[in-house]
Amino acid sequence: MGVLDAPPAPYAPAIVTPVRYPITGRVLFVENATPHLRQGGMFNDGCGSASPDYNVLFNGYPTLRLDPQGNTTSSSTNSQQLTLGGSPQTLTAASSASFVTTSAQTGSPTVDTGGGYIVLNTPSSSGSWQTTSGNSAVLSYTSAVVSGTANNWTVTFSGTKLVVLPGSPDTSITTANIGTATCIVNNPNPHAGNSPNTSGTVTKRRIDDEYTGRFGNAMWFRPTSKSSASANTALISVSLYNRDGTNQNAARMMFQLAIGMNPASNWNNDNTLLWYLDNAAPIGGAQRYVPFAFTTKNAMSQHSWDPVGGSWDDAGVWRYVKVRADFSVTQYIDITVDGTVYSSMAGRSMVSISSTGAKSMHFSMEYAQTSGTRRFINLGKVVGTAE
Amino acid sequence: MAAKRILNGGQVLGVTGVNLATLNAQTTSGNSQEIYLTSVDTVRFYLDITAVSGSGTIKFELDERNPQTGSFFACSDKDAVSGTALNSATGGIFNTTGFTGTTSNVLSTLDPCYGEAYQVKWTISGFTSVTFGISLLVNDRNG
Repeated sequence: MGVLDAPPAPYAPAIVTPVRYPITGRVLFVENATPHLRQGGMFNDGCGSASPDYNVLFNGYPTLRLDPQGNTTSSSTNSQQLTLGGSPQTLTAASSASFVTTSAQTGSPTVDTGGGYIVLNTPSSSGSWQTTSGNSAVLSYTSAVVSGTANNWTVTFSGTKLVVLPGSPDTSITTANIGTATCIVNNPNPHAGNSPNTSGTVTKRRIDDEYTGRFGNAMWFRPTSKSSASANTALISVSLYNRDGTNQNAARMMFQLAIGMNPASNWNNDNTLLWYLDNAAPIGGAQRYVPFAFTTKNAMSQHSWDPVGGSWDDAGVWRYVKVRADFSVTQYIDITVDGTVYSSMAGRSMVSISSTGAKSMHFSMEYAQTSGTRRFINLGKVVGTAE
Repeated sequence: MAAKRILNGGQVLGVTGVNLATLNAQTTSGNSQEIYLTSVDTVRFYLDITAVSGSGTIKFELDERNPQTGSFFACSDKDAVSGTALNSATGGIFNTTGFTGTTSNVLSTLDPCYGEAYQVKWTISGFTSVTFGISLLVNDRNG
């Protein structure tokens, strides 16, 4: 047998390394809440609390319960709701259509006229569906014109097409319920902002680094309490950011929760639209968050542990996120959510804003709410990597 | 081997972690945010009042969370050293009557720590502002 020949059977087959393990990079630290430490090695720099939870375990350890404790946020900057106008139309990835919307608000709608995204988020009532399929969809446009007067605005988008994101249920949509159905342009509402949102929990590990290169922030989390993943009220995001004394550069992904799909199952809160924070995408000043995938086959806010609400499932359902970014060029590498690696943001600039905050590399998860209803999520096994 | 750690007992709702570098001045009666002590056997409370404005009293008491309902009620436990009730008309954390000026190195002890979570409650009477800090030295005897 030559030295280059495979060894004789029986031998172990090649292992397909599971995606959810931080297979890329070198592990810098692993944070689990332990009986010995208040928050593992992490600290909540926002409002509310990140406290060890001995009812909800992960990886054999207590987890951190991230609980805003009733603090609320209103991060809806640059989110604009419009009403579908014109006539029903069919849009595909190959379209370059005119897409007409209206607004009865007093002031002129704020729309990124240089291009951006339009989200059709299906409500539960079929009488208000934006599409004949009843599924949510993301559109992109290349330019927009706002015309009209107070309480009678028209916003006409040009170069509009369907963005068939990973997980999109449709490759073609036909609009419906013109005059009543609504859409959102610019950013989602609410969204996780440019800076870490300290109106909620911002749970982090810091290390010093001089923008030397590539890092990863991996973690498991579980929406624990009842309705912890409710539409338009709960904000879950994961970040990697550093500051140089003048600017903050941040890679951030967020879940837009409870996206409507047809059929609307008993678990409709499961469906999510995933966004990442870009520096200026695609053009102009209003757009910052960019949608990159739907997840419709994953659980979200199921099997709650919430004794006050009457739920006692301490196993729950856990989700995995890993954000990777290259700080030497301040660009994204990729984002992993559960079993899928998304790379549409590869090479895109992470957001850069003026900031004189702590000059250190942050690995964080943020959880905030726009509602004072008491909710919490749990965080386990945070792994920081050098990539 | 015991494992001790220090928690902030004066953080109120809406104050961020980064702002805990300084003591917070309170102008009205209120309470801390919820302090979860699920791995804790004993608690040692430390009080320092660094400034007051006007004249009056400030009294501290301990409320306990009912995990079934999420509501807080007057903790029925007593100080392990003095035997004083930690929440009652004739008791309180640190002392029974409250404080009329600055003070330091005032202690109170909860042993054992039966509850899941607590709030430190303060009642201000007369003062226009009281600046204070409360720390909890919590002990896990199995640490």
